Amino acid sequence: MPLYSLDPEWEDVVPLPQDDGVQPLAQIAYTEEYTEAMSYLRAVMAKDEMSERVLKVTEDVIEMNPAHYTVWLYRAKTLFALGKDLVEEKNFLNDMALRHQKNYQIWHHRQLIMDRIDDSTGETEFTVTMFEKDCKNYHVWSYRQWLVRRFDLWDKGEIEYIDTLLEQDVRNNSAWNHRFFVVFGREETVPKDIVDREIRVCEDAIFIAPQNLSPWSYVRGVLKKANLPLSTFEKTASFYAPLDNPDKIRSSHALDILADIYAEKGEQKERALIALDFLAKKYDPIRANYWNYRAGLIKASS
Amino acid sequence: MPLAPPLFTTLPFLHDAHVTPSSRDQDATASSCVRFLSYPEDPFPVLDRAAHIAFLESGLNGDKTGKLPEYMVALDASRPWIIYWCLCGLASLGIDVRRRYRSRVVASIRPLQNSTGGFGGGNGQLSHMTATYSAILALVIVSGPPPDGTDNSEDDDEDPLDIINRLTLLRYLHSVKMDTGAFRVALSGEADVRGVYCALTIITLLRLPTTNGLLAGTREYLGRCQTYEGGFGAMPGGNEAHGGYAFCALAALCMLGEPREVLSDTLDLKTLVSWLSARQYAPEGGLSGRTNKLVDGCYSTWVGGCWALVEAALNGPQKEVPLGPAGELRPENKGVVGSLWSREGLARYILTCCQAMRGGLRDKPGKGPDFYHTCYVLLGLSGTQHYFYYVTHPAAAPSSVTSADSFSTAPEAEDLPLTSAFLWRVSPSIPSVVKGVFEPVVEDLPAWPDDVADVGVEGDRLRAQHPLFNVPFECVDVVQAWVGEKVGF
Ligand SMILES: [Zn+2]
Repeated sequence: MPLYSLDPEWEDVVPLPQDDGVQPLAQIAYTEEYTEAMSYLRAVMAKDEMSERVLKVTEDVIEMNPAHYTVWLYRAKTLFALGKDLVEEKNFLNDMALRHQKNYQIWHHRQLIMDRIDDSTGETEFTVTMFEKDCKNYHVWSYRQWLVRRFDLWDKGEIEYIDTLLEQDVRNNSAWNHRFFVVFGREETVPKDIVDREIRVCEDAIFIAPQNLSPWSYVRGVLKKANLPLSTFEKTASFYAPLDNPDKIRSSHALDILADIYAEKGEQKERALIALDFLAKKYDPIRANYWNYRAGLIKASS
Repeated sequence: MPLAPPLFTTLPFLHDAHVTPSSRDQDATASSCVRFLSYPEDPFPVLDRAAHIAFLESGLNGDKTGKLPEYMVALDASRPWIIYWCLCGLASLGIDVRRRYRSRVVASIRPLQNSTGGFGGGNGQLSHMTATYSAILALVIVSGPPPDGTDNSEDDDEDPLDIINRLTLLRYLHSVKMDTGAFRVALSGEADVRGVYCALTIITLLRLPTTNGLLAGTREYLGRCQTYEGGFGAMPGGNEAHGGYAFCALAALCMLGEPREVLSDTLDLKTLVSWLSARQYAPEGGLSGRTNKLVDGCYSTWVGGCWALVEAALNGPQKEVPLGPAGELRPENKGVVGSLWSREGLARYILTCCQAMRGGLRDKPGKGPDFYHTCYVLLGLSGTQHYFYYVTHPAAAPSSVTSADSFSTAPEAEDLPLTSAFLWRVSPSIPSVVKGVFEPVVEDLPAWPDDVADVGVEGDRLRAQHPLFNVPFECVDVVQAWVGEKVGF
């Protein structure tokens, strides 16, 4: 059913058809509604018109195809030109984001809007609603990091929220990653008690699930940031991977870090090679080539 | 056919008792993959070439009505992508897409170009870096002199690449370049590593001048995208390490210089290799994009593709010597590290778990095929069958560097056209750590002879794709020849 051609509000607009060329490849069978809305949108875009009716047609197209970046960008431009109430736009975005979880464009658009609104009230709460559906959504995490930086939310409940997420799923690497951002993302030295706290957090997480890579990578990151040697973690790693009692080995990641610790200490290269050999043959054989490569580096250096 | 080794048919030796949503998903995926991997009738199924060709051709030609179904409107802003995915997949399967589709590719891409520079995802859509990237790659795949017997002779005098307006494109690139070193994906769009990778691909292939600070800060920007885990996020400052962004960042860096030099100067290579290696899981054999996420066929390209770049950085530039059966040049392979990943694991995952029954390839069992996954799963499979290396010897250096200076207004060292990408070579023989010994991708497999360059209609062999651009390897030479004849714009 034609919606635009019969609408007096659009009387003055001559729709602009799509030129796909001769015998085009990958042509899509559009619905009549999509074809019509797009042809009116192209027409107003060609005139660089920014008006209420432009907002209406962009909303229409976005509803049919939320991945249409041109429409989002043109909508943002129009909203700003008309000085529209951006809080209302935010409500529209909430609804769209919840219905289209994987969409890219919504989050960039939201960032443009929020930057103008200049008030982050309710924003972290909304990301939480999104995380309840998918706690590893890349775009939402990226947006949350922008929020923290833009609105100085570093100490406004980020660590507490991450603790809750890690309690629900200690393997949620996006939460670990966000933690690293919150703790080390500011351009300042992190005090010793915070570093100690972070190491403890890793130890606790490893205790629950030793074969979870996230805290092992995280603790390496912490030690590097704090300029501490890997051997700071030797005792913990040895507990989960006692080389002299192979039946008690419970974590390949413990073997991995031990191999690095022993390789760093010149006189214990033999033990590093034992750890790598365990990894290649028994505990992580899909990565045998990599473990053998590491062993080769150690042999070459002695 | 021997049964698959236990590595691919049994759950991992170490397994935590503590259950969370992540481990539940992981266990379910591993178990479902094991069912395919240990299928006794056919533990190593052949590539269903004909079915995949038919699937990809349906992407270009549509169904009986000549169009793609209505629900694909979600890809309406990605039409050059559909064309690129299908062409690239078909080419790796051995189809001569240049003969079959050349004039229609030109006709389809032409209306996407904007007078203000660059290409949009459809006619009348704003220019976008990823649309420009895929549109140009689609043209690259069909470029070169007109093939004999092309049915439509109208467009045949001009090279498909001639439709690109390089001058407006260069202006567009400057308009999306940021002071941070990044490139936005569109005017007022987001800036991330994808933007940089697309920009560098375009600049390199079309040999655009990099004067006036086009690449100022770009290398440093890419370096800042490396995270504490070793992989790369979409942008600096906290994004999680992710396979897709890792490929974009590494391939972009390799366009800026010799891999060993540029990667070791910009990154922490040791952590990168560790993160990359941790992306491969057993028993699945496939690759994941992030820590504690599931394997997915498309990472066969994004993560699998990183290995060639990282290994080239560890091996350093290789000398070529006439070692092939008929005296062809082959890498000397001095002190190479060999494959640091399991080519066999990935090949098994792709052939057993990613082939959809009616053609097309997919993310994992239980998912449907699509053009995106079909393209990148095939590219990943091709990657398991080829060894990519980087050469430096005078004969390999592009002869046209000097002629390119004619449109470089300030020929300072950093402003020279980017040429490193053209020093990559490919061999069907995969060297092992032991000098002079080659490793088969999969032991005892007649369909996978280890020194055959030709892709026939039988067997699983695929054509090699360029490790940085993801187009058929030889297309890059064709573009080189085309751009070498350009004087000015
Ligand atoms: Zn995928």
